[in-house]
Amino acid sequence: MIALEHIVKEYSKEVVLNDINLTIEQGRSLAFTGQNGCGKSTLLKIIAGLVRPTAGMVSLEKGKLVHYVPEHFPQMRLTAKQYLLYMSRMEKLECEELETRIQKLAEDFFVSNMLDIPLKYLSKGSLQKIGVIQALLKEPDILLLDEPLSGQDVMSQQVFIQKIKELQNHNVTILMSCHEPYLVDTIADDVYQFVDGKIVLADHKSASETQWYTMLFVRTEKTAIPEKWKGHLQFTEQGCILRATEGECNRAMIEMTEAGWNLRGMYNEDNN
Amino acid sequence: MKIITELVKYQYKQYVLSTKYLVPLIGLLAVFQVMYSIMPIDIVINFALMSLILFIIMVGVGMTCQRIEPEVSEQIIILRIQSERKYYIGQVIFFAVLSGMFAFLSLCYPIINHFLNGKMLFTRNVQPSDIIGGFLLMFACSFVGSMMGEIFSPRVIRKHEAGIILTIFCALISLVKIGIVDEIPILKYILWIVPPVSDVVKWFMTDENFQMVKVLEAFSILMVYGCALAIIKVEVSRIRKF
Repeated sequence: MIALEHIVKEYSKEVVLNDINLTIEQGRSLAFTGQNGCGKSTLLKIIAGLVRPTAGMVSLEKGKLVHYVPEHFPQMRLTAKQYLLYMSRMEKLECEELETRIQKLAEDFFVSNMLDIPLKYLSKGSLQKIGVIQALLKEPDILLLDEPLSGQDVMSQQVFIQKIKELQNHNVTILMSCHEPYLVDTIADDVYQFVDGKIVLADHKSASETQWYTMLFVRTEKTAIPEKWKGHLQFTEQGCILRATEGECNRAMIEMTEAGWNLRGMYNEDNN
Repeated sequence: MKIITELVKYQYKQYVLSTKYLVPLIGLLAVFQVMYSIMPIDIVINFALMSLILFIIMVGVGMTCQRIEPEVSEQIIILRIQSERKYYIGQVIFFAVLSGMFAFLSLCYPIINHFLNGKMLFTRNVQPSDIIGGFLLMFACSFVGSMMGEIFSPRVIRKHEAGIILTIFCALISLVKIGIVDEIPILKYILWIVPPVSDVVKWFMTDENFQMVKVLEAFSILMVYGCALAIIKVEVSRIRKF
């Protein structure tokens, strides 16, 4: 169990977190949402013991293994494989299993061909995947996710969600700071919204009933990108992937088809 | 112990890949070229002077190493090994290893040079006490230097520029402490706080041979200062967090 009591955090006399009280049972999944700079990442780091609060106390059972997926995974000169091997050895993971485990996770996240490339040459999305893989090398008791999906492609997002669900089944506590409504809906048991330095339990029930669909479109000779769906699109070699809620699907299909795209597939993400 | 060994290996790899060793290494080679261009030279004086130079070089190494590991990566490792203390102790051991390497190189170069030049580099033959005494003195000065370069890291002093200025100031005071205390004796009550690198090295400037008791005394004093700096760095970093 994690208990936060009257947590206050100030940066240069500016109050970022103001009297936060929260109890988190083992195995729960919590999401913290709010604007950039509202203190989500700071709260995660305070829970992990990486940042000292200005006031208040965090109680975390001793010996709990905490893993952390940062929002921006750093660029380094080590190759992805070297980095993951060092991280595994620091956790005393058995050498024989290591390479297989790293290879398997890399394949799952579509980065197996990038393992021998220095981290500083990887794209933001690929770096973020390495950040996720390092956290999944060994099952933690608590997993902190700071905008874990930033820059990741749709297929990797699906794999990520599947892995997180496996951890949830193993009673791992998941705490995440996130802007992605889909991820929040899929993973979080409770959602806390940051308002003026405080956290408020959000009405998550109606949101969690939202059904999300993924549509696969291929290009034709003349295609345009409808303004409304720009932020929903992920481009691939042949076309694009569009994610929309159940209510948006019909409109998305019509507008994309009118803009010259051909629908090639559609699936409900909750059934995967 | 396995965790700390892995941490040291990891930091060493990061250091090698960063190529930040090139500047101090080139600096050291340049010093060798200048120092050993005149023959013959007194072995004790030479090793004592080399210790001072290593102190300066390792202050620079300590300072440049502060930024090799990104903050986020440090956080990931600390959580992974479940101990901030182990992480920072790993850093101290890494610097001790690096100090040992620089000291070894600084010892080997003139000795090999001496034998390649028909034993003409030094005024007398190299004895085992020269090798042991020289290495201990060079290693201790290097270690104190690296700890001095590390002490005002961003973990300890948030403002990087202030950290750099403080480090340079303290390192300079360490080097010219004897002169300052000679001029203003009362300052000895304040200046004991900086490592007595110049004082210790001065002990050997008039000796013809390394006396083991004197070497061990100098080594112990420098190591006490080095370890004190290391403990301050570890504990302040642990308390202040990120």
